[in-house]
Amino acid sequence: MDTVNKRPRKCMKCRAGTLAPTIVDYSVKMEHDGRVYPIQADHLEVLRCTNEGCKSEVLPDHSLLRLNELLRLQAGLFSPNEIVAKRSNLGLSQKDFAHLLGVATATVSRWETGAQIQQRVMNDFMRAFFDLHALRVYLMILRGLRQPVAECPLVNLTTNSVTVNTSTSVTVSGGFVRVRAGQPVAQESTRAQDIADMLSYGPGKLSGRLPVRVA
Amino acid sequence: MSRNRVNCADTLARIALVRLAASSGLSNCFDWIDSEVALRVSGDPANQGFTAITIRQLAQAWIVGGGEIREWVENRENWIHRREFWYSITVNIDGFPRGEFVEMELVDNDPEFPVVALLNAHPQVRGPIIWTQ
Repeated sequence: MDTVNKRPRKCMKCRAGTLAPTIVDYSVKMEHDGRVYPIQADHLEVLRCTNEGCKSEVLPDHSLLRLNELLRLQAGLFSPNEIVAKRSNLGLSQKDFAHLLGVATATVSRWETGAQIQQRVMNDFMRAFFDLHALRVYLMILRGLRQPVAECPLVNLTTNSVTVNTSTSVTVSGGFVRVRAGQPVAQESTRAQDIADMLSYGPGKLSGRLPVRVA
Repeated sequence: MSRNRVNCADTLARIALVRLAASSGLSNCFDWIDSEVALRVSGDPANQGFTAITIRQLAQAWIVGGGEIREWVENRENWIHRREFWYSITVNIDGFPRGEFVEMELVDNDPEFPVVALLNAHPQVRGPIIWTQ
């Protein structure tokens, strides 16, 4: 809610006083996912009732957002921006990311806008997803996006290094390997690992023939 | 707790005020009654990490979109001195099969500037399943 009426805001609790903005060092115990976190926010704006007998407080939206940020920090959870960046780095859309994690696209959207704070178990699952290529490949197989090893007997994977002939280019995006003729490719260790993993799990998903040879 | 739902012309007028408060787009008119309630609701594990702002916005969107508002006679001992009626909606949100139940109070019935306070929100536990993925 972006608009704020210029009329003084009445206290909804006592209905007598008005709410006046005050900057305070704010301490509160916030709950998330069944745990309690002590949060300290310096210089936070709080709307306090002017009626002495009331003592009601209201937090404006920007203060609630700041408390949520601090809660995420305290609980070791990804911030919305971190989720967006890590997902984008893998070249995944929200829809594909949600499908692989087994959640609704709307849920991913809410994590990324900060509308919903992810549970710890989902945060840990995302962390593993971002860090472990093998997990991403496993989930692709689980969701039917990739063939299992048994269906690609032609590849003999003996090392992490990959040799690509000069008429071939290899790109790795979102855990998918694409092979195209015509452009040479320099070896890169992280990509080589990706390619090696991909080949071990299913070259059937590679586009075109397989001029990629594992040395 | 017994809930006596009322239904009369005055009810419709009051519900129209609740709808007007939600659709005003003013934070003064439709908000959590206080910070304690807002933080309690957002910290309730049953609400699955939905923030207080999000729940308020979803409730607001539900009302503005024409969602049903129900009026109840207040007969709970702790609150009977404070209000004659209270209002509820059941917001359709993915992840809550029976919806999210939101409880409200019409704090100010000024026809030009009605004010509604959000009192509580939790997943609806009884009734028909209204959302499926």
